[in-house]
Amino acid sequence: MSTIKLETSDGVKFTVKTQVAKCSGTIRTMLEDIGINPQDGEAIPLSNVHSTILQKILVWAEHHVDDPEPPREDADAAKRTDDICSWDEDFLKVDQRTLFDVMLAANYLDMKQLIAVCCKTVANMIKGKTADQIRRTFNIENDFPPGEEDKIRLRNQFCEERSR
Amino acid sequence: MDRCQICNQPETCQLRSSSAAKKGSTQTIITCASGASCNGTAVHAGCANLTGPVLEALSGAQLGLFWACEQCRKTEGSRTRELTELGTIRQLAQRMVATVDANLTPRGRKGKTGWKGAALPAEMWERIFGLLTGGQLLGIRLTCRRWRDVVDGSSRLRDRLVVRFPKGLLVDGRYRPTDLMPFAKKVIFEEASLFSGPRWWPRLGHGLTELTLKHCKCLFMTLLAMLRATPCLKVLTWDNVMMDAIDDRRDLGFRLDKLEALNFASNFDIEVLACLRKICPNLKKLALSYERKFQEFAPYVYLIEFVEAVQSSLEELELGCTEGVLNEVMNFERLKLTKLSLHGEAMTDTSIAVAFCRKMPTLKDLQFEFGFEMRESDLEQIAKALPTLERFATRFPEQKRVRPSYLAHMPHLRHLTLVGNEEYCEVQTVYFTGIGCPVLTHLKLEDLDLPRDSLQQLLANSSNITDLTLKAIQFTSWRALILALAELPNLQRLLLTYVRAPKSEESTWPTTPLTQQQHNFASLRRLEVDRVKLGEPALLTLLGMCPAQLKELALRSVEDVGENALCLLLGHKFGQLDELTMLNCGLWPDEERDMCDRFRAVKLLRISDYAMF
Repeated sequence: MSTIKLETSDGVKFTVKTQVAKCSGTIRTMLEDIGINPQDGEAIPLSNVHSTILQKILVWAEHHVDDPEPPREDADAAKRTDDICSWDEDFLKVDQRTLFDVMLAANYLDMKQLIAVCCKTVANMIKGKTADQIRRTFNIENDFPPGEEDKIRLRNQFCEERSR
Repeated sequence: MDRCQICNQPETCQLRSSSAAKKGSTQTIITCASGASCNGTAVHAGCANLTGPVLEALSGAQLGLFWACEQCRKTEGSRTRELTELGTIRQLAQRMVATVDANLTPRGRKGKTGWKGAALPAEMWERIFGLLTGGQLLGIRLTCRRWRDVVDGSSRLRDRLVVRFPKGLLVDGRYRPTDLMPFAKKVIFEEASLFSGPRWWPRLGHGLTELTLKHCKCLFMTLLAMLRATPCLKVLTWDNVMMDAIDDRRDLGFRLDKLEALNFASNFDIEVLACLRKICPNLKKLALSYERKFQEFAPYVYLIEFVEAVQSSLEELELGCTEGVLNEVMNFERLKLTKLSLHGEAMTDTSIAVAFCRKMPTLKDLQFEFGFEMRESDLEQIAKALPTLERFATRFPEQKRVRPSYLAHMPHLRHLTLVGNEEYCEVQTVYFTGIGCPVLTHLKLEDLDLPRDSLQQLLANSSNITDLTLKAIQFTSWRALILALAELPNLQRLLLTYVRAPKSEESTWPTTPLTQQQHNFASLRRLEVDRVKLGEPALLTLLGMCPAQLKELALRSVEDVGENALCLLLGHKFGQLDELTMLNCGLWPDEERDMCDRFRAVKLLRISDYAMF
């Protein structure tokens, strides 16, 4: 089985099955379109990804390497957030910092399925919470000048979600 | 002099056309960095669609990004990874920019507060917020400035927000809403009285795409003034609106060029069409329900004139009307409809619809509703006139036995709905002998009697069905139903509502499952059974046919769920359920407890025997 080497921002080198590495659109492009020869033994630099995060992402890629291409989803199905498979749910039970780092790295590596499942996880963290609870969850400071929040609340009162 | 490989103009030409002028700032020349085999191919950055930071990164060459033309990439592809195509460069550069953005501390923020909300770029938050409902988005807008800006800055997210004015509102010269959502695209007035063109309206109306008036009273002039201020309006819905006298001779002096859909639900003044026909040149869809008060021909003249005025752009027509209207409308030469839905109460001769369909070979979607119960011979003529029809719905005329043989002439049908006639004194019997729809995916049957193997015959010849809905259907026996269902290997969703079989077959039901085709439902993901007295053997067989990958199971008022079926449920077969509903299924309290225990991990669990619905 062919392997390639990846080098993270902190200089750690990983040897990865080519098939697993190709879960990343970025690496796939490098290999297929630009024609890097994996037998060169030279590591592909991933200057935006730390080794701890890459390790985590490789675990995910290893588990999902045989997943079929997702079907072109219709708008309704794409909006669901309750269809995260239990393996992914466990995998993403990490602290927020790590979750966000995984998302950024997945974005850099262009891993659509991983980004989608992360986004759903974060959306689930928001659902059913008031603005105050959301701030506490994500450690956000209320940066509205005094009075501004009430003004927005007033605007909101005319609004409601779109009835389907 | 080198020429740009895309526009074939020399490097420093003066671009005159307007599209080229826009690219003026990006006339920078990008040259192939390899140069080995191509002699320095060049393109204008503008022609290659390169702008902003990507262009800077490329022309500065400090970031190690450069471009090689296709020829060089092909000939030297394996030599070095630096040979990069433009699309890849764009992707890489955009990703770099996003990462830099994310790492910058947001404006007005002290660096030391560990505000992790900044740790994701705005596009990512936009994507996450896209998974929320409108109500939740309002909470997001309250959280902090950056998130509010994300919501307000995204037209996709703003689409979810609707401004709904409070009921009973009186809009006159004095009413001023304190603070309105500035970017909303949809507005609903309900039970409001609009008596004066409000001065604040243009600010809201400017970006509006949908306006709904429901149970409103308004002055015609006020309404016109408001419409004048909504240049982007796409959908206008008119449901029970009372108006004063409509003056249709006025020159309105404005047009709603973007208006695509006009819906009139109930109790409307049809005269208003006389005004509207002058101002919506690009209308695609008109829906207008039947009004008993228009039974005489005169008011429908407004409708006929309206359709005539918008005939070249109109694609969909949902009409409650009379024969007179159809007779006129079918003669409009430029009318090319793709969808037609008809209903009406005063029809005496429905064959007019046949002539109409003959004149509309472009139809893909045809629905006959109440009042248009077409005879089989008529439908056969229609089917022959419209061989490319994809969606079809009809109600049967008042007769005991029906055989919809016309379906054989609709080979491209994907959606089919057949409904029994509720006016008829008996349940209508339908024979599908020798009928099939090879590419059908959605089938809905309602209020019918399907004797013996009638359904099985249809399904055997329509094996691509993914969604099947049977509502108030009578079978000879459960066996007939189960055998019919076994014909559908691709079924994904099955809904059985108030389906019945008069003969009890407990004694004759084979102890071993009916067929070896048990696993035929490999694709089934949702099974819903509502008010069906299946009896244990039939239920067991049905559940036995379901695959382990079943995601949603709902049993409502299925009173005789027996012990064996319960054991099957409690066993380990359905381990992947996301939703389990068992309401009013006659469970004992301890059985209920067992079920709750067994399916504790299911995301949506509803088990109760005292539920009201």
